[in-house]
Amino acid sequence: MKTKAVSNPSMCSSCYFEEESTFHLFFRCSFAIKLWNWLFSLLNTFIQFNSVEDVWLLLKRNWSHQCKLVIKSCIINILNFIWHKRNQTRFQDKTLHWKSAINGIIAKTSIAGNKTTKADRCDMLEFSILKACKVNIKAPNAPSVKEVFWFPPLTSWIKVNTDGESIKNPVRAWHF
Amino acid sequence: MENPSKIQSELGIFRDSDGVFIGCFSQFLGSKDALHAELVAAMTTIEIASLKGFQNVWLESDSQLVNLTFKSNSVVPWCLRNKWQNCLVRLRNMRFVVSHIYREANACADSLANLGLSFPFFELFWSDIIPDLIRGEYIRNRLGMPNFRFNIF
Repeated sequence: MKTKAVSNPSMCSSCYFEEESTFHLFFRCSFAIKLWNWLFSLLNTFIQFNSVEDVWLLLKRNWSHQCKLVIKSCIINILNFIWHKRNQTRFQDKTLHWKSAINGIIAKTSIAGNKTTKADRCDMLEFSILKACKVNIKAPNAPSVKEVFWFPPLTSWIKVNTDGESIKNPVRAWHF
Repeated sequence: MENPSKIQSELGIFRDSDGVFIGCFSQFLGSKDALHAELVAAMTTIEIASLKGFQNVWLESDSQLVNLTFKSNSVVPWCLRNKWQNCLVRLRNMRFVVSHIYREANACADSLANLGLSFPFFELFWSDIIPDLIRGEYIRNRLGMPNFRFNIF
């Protein structure tokens, strides 16, 4: 409607301050900023969101499988709670305090994190993230070690070991 | 299968029944995919073996696909089809066995790889003496010392 130049008043239901848009609601609104800051303090990092896709930058670091799943579920639950809170205020006239929202996020994340079969790595930051989300830490299994031998062939036979080997192109100049 | 940002080389080591080194080859292939390199390595082996008149040849590759290719030709890329058929003809005069070996046990061939990659020229490199690069792994193999494979679940 706005692109068709129909003017209608729009207001963000949680901060009553700015025009409501997807990006404002999920990333710029005061309620959303509190939830994201909680996640940033958990991950010990900070990202300036410029678009919705930027949330996946949080997963870019070298996380272990379990920790990655927990962070992913945190992000999705944060988005879910922001939407939930907006609907509650708009249609049922109830408010939701951000601290209780965080408790809800932790509860939902711990369900996801405990259900997974993926394993964690030994890392203090990851341990603290999992502890804060009330997720039990799943230690990885010990590797199974297998002895492998090279056997010579029978008499009068010749054995050939072949391999194809690759490396990333080291000679940059070839690209130009 | 396509990984064009990588450059490939093929290589092989010939050893007799006492584990004594006969020779090794390596060739720089440029920007090709991994299957291409493994197949060219198998074909070069067959060509060299038939040129040198080896009658009984046992090819060991760490690629399962190469083993499969000897059972059915359909995996061979079109650009290698012709060469592949020629190799199959050469194989008629040889006793030839293909088997799979774990990558870790193929360490000797693995360590030779750097040799092929360090010469970016496309002609085949053949050596009758053991390159220093593989001497350590060669001696390990010859003495029957194991390599270890780690599986993490």
